[in-house]
Order: sequence, then structure tokens, then C-alpha cells
Amino acid sequence: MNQEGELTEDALARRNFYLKTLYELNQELNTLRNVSNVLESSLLNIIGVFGLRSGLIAIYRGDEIQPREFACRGMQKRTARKWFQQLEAHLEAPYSREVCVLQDAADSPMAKLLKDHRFSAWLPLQVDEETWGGIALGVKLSEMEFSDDDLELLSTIAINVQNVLSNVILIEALHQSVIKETRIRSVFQRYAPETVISEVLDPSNEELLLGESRSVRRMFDQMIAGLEEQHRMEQELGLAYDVQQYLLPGKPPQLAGIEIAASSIPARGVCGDFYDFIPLGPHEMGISLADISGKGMSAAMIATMLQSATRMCVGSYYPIPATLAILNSFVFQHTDTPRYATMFYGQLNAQKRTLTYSNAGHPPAFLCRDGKLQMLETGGTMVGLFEHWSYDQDIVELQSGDALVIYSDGVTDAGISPEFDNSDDAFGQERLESTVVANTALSAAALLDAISSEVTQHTAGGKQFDDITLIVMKLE
Amino acid sequence: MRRECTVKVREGNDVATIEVLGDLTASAEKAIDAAYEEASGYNSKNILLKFDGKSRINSAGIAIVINLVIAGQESERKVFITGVSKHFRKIFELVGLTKYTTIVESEEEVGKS
Repeated sequence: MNQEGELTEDALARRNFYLKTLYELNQELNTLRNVSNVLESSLLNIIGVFGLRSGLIAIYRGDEIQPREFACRGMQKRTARKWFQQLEAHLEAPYSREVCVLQDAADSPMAKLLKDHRFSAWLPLQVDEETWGGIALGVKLSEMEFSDDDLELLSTIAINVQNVLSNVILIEALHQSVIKETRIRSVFQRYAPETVISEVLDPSNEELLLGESRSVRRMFDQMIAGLEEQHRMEQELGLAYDVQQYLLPGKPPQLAGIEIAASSIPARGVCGDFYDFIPLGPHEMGISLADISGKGMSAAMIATMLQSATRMCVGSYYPIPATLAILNSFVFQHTDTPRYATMFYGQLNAQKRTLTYSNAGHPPAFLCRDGKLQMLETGGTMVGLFEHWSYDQDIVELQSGDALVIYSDGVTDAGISPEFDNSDDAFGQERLESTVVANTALSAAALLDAISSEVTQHTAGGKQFDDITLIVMKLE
Repeated sequence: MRRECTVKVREGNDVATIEVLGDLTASAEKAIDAAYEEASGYNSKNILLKFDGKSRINSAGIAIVINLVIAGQESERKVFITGVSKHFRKIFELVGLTKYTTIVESEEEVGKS
């Protein structure tokens, strides 16, 4: 920046280069299907964008002290292994899971370690509950320090790499699980019928045995085929459920002055709803809640795809209306049969106490202040309905004591049976609103419990026909 | 639209030239590494990385150039670059590459630098 606060030609060129890199890297990472390619590609781009002499990226599983996988450039693999050996002594320390930039922390133990290995920064990655890792950055060819823009770009890249790694690790695990399952099935199919036949039939009657064995074999074959099909479907549903559970935020994020509670209960094992919290800096986060048309496995797959795409777009600095416009085209182009999603996306800034949001055909989220409700309806139509659509956004000023409720129509439609489709049976918007007004003094978690318990009471423990997803936020 | 990258190596007057036609991205890394190996086999003290003037170079491509420049430095070869647009000259400057390599207007300038 110059003295007038304008971007200089260099700063502008650098920023454009950074945005272009982020966009291209996101696109590339989305095409990769194994951990090692994600590590290689991320590192290559990081080295190029900052002009580094060397770099290293690694991921660890659980408490293991050796990395599960790593990639390095500008250094020998044996040098990288020395780094891991010396890093071992620091793995238990909390600072190994924190960002360390040499220029800002010259005397810390991590900084000393970085210096010994000619690195200039350490950026930890938290892929999922089990898997973590980090990126060690070599010194810049320019010999310049890392600027605020550099660090912002780095943390955005890290978030994207974490998301992609998390998906890829899951896909790899699912793939392994399917291979194992196929092996077990083939062994069972080959040996089990004969074994069981020999046990259940009288071996002294050979004629009967031959005739019976053929019919018993046929019966077993049919039974096994049926069981296998059922097992396969249960397995697929279970795996899809696992994928979704991994993708849902484990616990609500911490944002100073704001309590957050969330829950999602699927109607058929897997969920066509999703919610997500996307960190955007120390005081800001993205909040998304979407409901995909249809139910079961196909809706769940689209939900997973939309959730990943949202994270990618949000991490790329797009304004909210542009993010929704991109997601709209994305869903339209990537679903063969007409599918769409209602979606609420907002960015909550705890420092400015504002919520900037856009509502894509989703049931209106609402703000409850002093017993009065403000509906958050600004936005546009459902995503995926038309190839191109533009969206509006609105900014809501927040105050202490405000309660913000975002929900899927599974909440308000609870109680309706698809067979009778009588909307009089529904829990309904009014009940939801009055529950929130009556309990607005409660904490976010208690308010969420109050709503859930009213819904359960209304449906009297009957069968749940739609996914029920709720996010409640309270401003302290 | 992305242009496929092809790489050729030739030996000139004390300079081994690696000609890069098309865009330099991650997919070109093996070809560039192989070209550098071949260029190192020549008896030249200088290596010229010659782009076609329209090449688009992304951050992965820059990492590949950095690799080549550092390898040249380690084997005491001087690396020159030519055929890059004004925009990419600026990017090379921003990432610090111009501290370790010289950007020249034409092949003829290599011997004179």
C-alpha cells in the first residue's frame, strides 16, 4: 500500500496472482483422489506462489510419531526424515499444533527447530479428529518476510487442503472397506453352502444327499444372494452415513460472545440436509444449512457434494451472492436428474456483530429479539433449479440477547405423514416461533433442546419422515 | 484455454536451450526435469529456459522453474529466461526468481550477460 492507502502495482499484481492460485489450486485439488497427490500438488503450488527454496507437507494419524504420508521439495527425503525425528520431541507440545512464523517468534522452541532446518514457518493442519499434520515452509527466494496477505493466503490454502484431505481419506477408507468386504463375501460364497450342507444332512443316505444337496444348494444360493443384496445396501447406507458424520462439524465452533448449538437427525439413515461452520478468521465464520430435494442415498450424495463445494467457494473470497450463484450452477450442472436444494448461507462477524446472509429458497431463518421476530428471507431461488440465477444479500445488526434460528423444513413439517399429507398435523412455523419466543432467555444448547423436545412431543414418538436439522445461536 | 506443454532441448554456443511451448503447469514437471537432465549433459555453462511468448505459468509452474534455477545454481550453471510476457516478468520478480536468474530479451543476449 502507498501512503494514500492505495494498492501499489506490485501489491495488486501479487494479490491477483494469489487469487488466481487459490482458484486454480481449489479446482485441481477437487480432481485428486489420493492423499499423496493432494500433498504433492498443494506443496508445489505453495512453493511457487511464495517463491520458496523448499517445503514439506505431512499428515499424521492419531498419536503416531511417524507421518502417515509426506511430500517434500527442495530437500532430500533423508533431510525430511531428520526433521520428523526432531519434530517427534515436540509432538506432545500444544505449540506443534499452532502456526509458527519465524519472523514473529524467533525464541520459541518451534522457531528454533524451524531455524535448524532452514524453514521459515510451520502451519498445522487438522484434517479430522484422527488425522492432523503440517506444512513447513522453506525460506523465500526474495528473502522477504511473510506479509499479512501471505499469511491470509496460507491459512485459506490450509483450510482447503484440510477439507480435500478429509474427503480423500474417507474415500480411501471406503475403498479399502469395499475391497475387504468383497473378499469376505467371495470366500463365504465359495465355502459356506457346502460346509452347512454337510452338517445338516445325514451323510449315510448318499442318494438323498445328492438330490437334497442340489435343492439345498439352490436354496442357499438364493438366500445368500438376497442376504448379500440386503447387506450391500445396509453397508452402503452405513458408509454414506459415516461420510456424512465425518463431514458434519464435530462440535460447534468457538466464536467470542456467541453460543452455537446444532443438530441433524436423518430420516432414513443418511441425511439430505447438511449444516456446516466454516472458519473465516478469528472473528468470522460461514454458516450453511441446506436441504436437498428427495431423500435417502442420492440426496445424501448431493448434500455431501454441495457441502464440499460450499467450503471451496467460501474459502476463495467470493462474495455471498456470487458464492450462491456458483453453487446454483454447480448443482444444476452436476446432477443428471433435476435436483435442487434450499440453502441458507451467512457469514457471522463476532467483532462487528453482524450477520451477512443470503437465503436460497430456504424456510426463513429468523432472529428473535425482545420477543419480536425478524425473518431472514433476502436471497433468491433454490440452488440447482435453473442453470443461472443471481442472489441478493442482506446484513443484520446483532445485539446481546438475540437468538438466531436456522432450520430445515423437517422441523416445521414434523408430524406430517407422506401417506396422508395433512398439513394440519405439522409441527408448523407458528409452534416453532412461539417455542423460541417462550425460551429465548435460554442458552443456545438449551433452546435447541427445547425446540427438539417440543417437536418430539408433537409427533408423539411417531415415525420421522424428513431430516430434521437445526442451528441455534445466542448472542451473549 | 490451457495449451499443452511440449519441451525441446538444443545445444548452442555455450548455451543449452530448453524450449517450452505451451503453458507451464504441474503436468509439465517430468518433461522439464528430463529436459534439464539432458541440458546438463551438454558442456554448456549456461542454460536458457525459452518460453514461446504466450506461455501461461501458474504457481506450480513457477515452483518447477525454481527447482530448475536452484539445480542450475548447485551445478554452477547460470540460468537465463527469455520469452516471458511482462506480466510473468513481474510475477518472477515478486517471487524472487529474478535474484537468481537473468531475464533476457533474446537468445543472443545470453553470451553477452
